[in-house]
Amino acid sequence: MKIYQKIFAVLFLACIIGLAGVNFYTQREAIISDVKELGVPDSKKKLETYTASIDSILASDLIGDHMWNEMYGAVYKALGKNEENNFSYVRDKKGILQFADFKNVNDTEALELAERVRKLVDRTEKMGTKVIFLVYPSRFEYGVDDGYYGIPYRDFNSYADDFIRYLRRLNMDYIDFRELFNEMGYEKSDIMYPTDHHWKLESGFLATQYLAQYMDKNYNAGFDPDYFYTNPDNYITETYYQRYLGSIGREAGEIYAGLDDYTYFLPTYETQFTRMYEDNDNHKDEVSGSYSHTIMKRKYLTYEDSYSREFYNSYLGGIYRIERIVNHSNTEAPRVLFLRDSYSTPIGAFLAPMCSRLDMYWTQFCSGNYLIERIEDFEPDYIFIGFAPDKIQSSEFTFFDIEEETDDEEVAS
Amino acid sequence: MVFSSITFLLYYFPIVFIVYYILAFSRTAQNIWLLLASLLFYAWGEPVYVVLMVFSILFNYIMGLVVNKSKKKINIVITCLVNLGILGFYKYSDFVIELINSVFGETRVQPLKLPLPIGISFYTFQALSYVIDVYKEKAEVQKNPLNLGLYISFFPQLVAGPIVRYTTVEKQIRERKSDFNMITEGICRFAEGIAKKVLIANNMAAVADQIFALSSGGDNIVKTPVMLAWLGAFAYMLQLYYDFSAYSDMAIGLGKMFGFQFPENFRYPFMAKSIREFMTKWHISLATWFNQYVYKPLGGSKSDNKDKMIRNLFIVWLLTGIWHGAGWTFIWWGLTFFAFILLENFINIEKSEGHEVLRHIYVWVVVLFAMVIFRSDSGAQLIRYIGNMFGMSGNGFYSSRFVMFLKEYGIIFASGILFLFPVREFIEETLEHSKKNYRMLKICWQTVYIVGMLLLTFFSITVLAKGGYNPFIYFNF
Repeated sequence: MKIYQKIFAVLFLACIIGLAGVNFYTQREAIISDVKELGVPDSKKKLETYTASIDSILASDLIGDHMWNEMYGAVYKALGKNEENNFSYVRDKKGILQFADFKNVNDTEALELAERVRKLVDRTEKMGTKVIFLVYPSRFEYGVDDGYYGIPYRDFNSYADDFIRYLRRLNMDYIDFRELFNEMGYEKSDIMYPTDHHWKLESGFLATQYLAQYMDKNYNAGFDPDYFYTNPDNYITETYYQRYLGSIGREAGEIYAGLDDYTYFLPTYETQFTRMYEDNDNHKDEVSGSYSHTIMKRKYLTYEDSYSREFYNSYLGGIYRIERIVNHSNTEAPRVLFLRDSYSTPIGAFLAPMCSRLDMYWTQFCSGNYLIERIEDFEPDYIFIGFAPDKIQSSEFTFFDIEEETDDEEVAS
Repeated sequence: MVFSSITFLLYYFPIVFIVYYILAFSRTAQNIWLLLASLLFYAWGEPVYVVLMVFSILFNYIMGLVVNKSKKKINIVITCLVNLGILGFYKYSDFVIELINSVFGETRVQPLKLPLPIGISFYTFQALSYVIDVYKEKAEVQKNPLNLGLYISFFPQLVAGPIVRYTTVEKQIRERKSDFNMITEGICRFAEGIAKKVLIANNMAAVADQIFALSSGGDNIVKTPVMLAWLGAFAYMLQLYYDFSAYSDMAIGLGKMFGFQFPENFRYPFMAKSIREFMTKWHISLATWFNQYVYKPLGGSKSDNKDKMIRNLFIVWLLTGIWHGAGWTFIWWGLTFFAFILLENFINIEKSEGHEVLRHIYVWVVVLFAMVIFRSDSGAQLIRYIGNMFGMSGNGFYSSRFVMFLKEYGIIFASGILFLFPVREFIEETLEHSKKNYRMLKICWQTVYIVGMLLLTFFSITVLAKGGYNPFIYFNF
């Protein structure tokens, strides 16, 4: 062997063995604790996945923490790549990280989903409940947003247009927030966090403002007739400049994705809520107090590390499977039920002061029968169903796919 | 466990390597250590089926002793039946059941849906070669079950070859020398392998998988234009070569680090000028195995009867196809090579002179189509994909995705094409044997090699730590 190959071999061995040694020395406690938490496999099935779980622990407890992710991102950025890690995410010309989709095909006909909404309208009409569908802006729209040539961006806007057409045909009401933001001349970078898969809190506030006006005008609903709750002057706002690394950014790395600004809103008026919530593991909790102690979770604003600083969770903890917010300061206000995913969190958070009671269900994790039972039990004045175009799909529309199911309790949990 | 994982690189390998050299005072201790490490390596990926491997070791150990004592044919028949029976049961039972059901046009037998034990095709063939060689008195019987266990289960070549014949390593198990030169050679080879796998094969997989996934849903959902279909086929061809040859590089490299010399498995097959030549450079150890244990016993090509030669060739390529997987596409893949090799025999392509470039193009094109057959999940997808390559489904010609893939993965495609040829060897030879004194150039090359290889290794670890796309195609073999 040649001398330079010998030099490389020595360096290779030194690096691998050195890295392995330092890694184990510094990470051993975390590794041992994680492996202990994993427990001992007590069945053949668990045994088959046990080593894969240990592989995951060893990879995630690696020395350097997010350094590897950042180096990967740095190389990708240096290479000028607009797709990240086998199209996990793609970048548009404004630097917004997008989801990739080569097909942009929905497996369910738009008419079928619209008919499911119609079924709910029919079912709740006798209680006097009004149902309004909310379509949120999407992250990307071909022909409107500036994408790189050939990159497969996720765009379900034409599907959402079809869905809305069917809603109209079936005589149902809806608000298309895409139009609102288009009319206001907003760019996607104004509406969305470039590094997170959600829209900005400011966008959610604006949408809530429009929703309240629309409901008061068309239904005389009494959400905010005096322009009090949706008046920005009644809120303190604070901006964290270049501090927010959203969910997509955390995957792609700070160097590749960059950082976002984050502005939060806190009411200056007096509030008193009781909030009950339940997560996907059926853990329940209840808190009472002002807005900043119930609706807000300030702990998410305080983390120093950008990877653990999940600002979006500062409102309603991001999302729980079931939420019930009882407003003790506005007891005559409408009763609202919200069927949603995490995209609706800002609207839920800003709508809460305008409702006497606001129940929210993450539809993906609630069966149709369970929801119908809760709705008939609650008898809300209004039901809002809110999804972004790419989430208008069967898995989210569990609520009226109810004929086949028989056992309520089983599917509810 | 796979080589391209954090668990292997930062835990398994350093421990096994250091302890192995600590035990340098005793070959037996080293062998026992390697055997235990190999069983752990296998159990990591197959915690249940490791029992099957231990059975295979014990059974073939006993049969080795039996055939050594008594040369009755029945003993070797039993050995083949049990080994191939286990392989057939786990690998082909559902294929046969589906065949039966399709004959009757209804589900008469429920598929067993058994998971395929990793590497079973590789270690079964190794175990078989041992007993057959003992039977044929080409190898001495192994009286120490631990040594035989090490031969069958030795972790570097366990899951993806090369398929090492017992006679190749028989002596090495007992007495082998490992010096710094050999370790160096092994490390360089292993580092090249890991970079090829993580940086080229995995990225080509990202391209190929996306394009093949487009065609899997049918043309009524998304169309795959001609240019894109060709790019997908090309990307898959590179993926398969780099994935497979990288694993062989890593296996050979690891073998050298522990003092073993494994046979080469790939010798730049894309430089071949005929399909026959291509197949002598691609997965050499499998071709050698079939040649030794099937083709030659059948009479090989020496038979005066041309029909017999054709039959022998057909059987070997049919079995080669079947060995790769339980599906019609694998059988068609094998028979494609059979057809072209036969054709080449008739027109005597290897003796014809000239048309060098055309012959290279011919090999690449045939291999490209063979890889499409290999990659297709079903006959329907194969027909659809080939149709897409020739614009037969109204799928159009130009694709913006084609341009995008070239832009996003251009550097990988370029590297992938470049390293199909012996670049390093060419540079080294040019610098070494040139009449001019390229002192500065030599220093530059040496620096580039050291820094480049370290950077490639480091970035490979980065990709693995990040959890980058890392498909493992040997689950199917």
